[in-house]
Amino acid sequence: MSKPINSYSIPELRQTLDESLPVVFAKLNYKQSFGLIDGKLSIGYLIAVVAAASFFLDKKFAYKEVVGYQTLLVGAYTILSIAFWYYTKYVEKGIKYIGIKKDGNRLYVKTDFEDGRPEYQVELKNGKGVELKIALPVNEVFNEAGYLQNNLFYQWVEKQVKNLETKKTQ
Amino acid sequence: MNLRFELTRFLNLCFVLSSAFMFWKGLSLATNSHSPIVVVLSGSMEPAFQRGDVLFLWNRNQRSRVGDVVIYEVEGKSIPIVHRVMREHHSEKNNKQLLLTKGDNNAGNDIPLYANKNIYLNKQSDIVGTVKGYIPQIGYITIWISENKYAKFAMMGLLGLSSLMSNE
Repeated sequence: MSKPINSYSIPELRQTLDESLPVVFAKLNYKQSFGLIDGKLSIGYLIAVVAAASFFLDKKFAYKEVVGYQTLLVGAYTILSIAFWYYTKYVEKGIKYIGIKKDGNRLYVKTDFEDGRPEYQVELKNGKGVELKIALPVNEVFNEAGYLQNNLFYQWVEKQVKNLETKKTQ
Repeated sequence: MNLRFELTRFLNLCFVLSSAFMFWKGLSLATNSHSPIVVVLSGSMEPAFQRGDVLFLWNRNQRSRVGDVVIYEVEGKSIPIVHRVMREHHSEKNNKQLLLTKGDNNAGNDIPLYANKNIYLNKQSDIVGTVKGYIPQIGYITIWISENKYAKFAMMGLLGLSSLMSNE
């Protein structure tokens, strides 16, 4: 069992639940696909490298010696930041998990919290475009001490995935 | 622990640090000044500027005019000085301009402050920027922190506490 969290804090709830998604879906025989998150990480670390290079030049050289390089770096930083923003908003679109089953069926999981509402908003979508939106009140899966009840969360997710599959056959 | 989660968290930390730095860098490139925002440290420009005023600089002008308030740095001293241009001489042929400055609240001009026994400042190489705007007093906190060691500790403590308290 993981560490207890402050279950009144939305950021902590979000983090704990998002981080337990891969474990839960692994139990349901999904294999995680890391394509999206790897893309995001590579853009992100490219930004960090550009900023670090600019910082290094700033420390090592006088301002006037490296103005040209700094202009290039700041330009690259701006373009990469816009790319990163675009990627999170229009490519990733809040998808926290992508799973692939052995038969090749894909599952996309988006999660979110509305401001001030302790309900985990989950949106499941499979490869055929069938969608299911559900909300999970967090007090159903966290106990009073702030521990995530992995088993309850797993059962809830399992039920929702089943619902998604039956919705497909309708 | 999952490596990708750790990398994402570390990346968020990188973003916090790098965005502040790159904003500063972008501002300094836009204004062509290596230090586009400065805090007034002395009372030599009173009553125009008090200690603790925050000044916004611009350094894309070709020449300074008499009456402009400029920031300059003297070779070998890292503290920027905020004073007013009293006299200027410039050449029409090349871009050279020489300046004499004085603090409004000082009795004499700045010649004793200049490096290498110069009797002028060079606009192209010595001037950090011309004052284009200011916010009164809010920079006093930086003076307070740099001049009072207890304030420094208190600031460090607060930063440490806030990083412990928050999780995002």
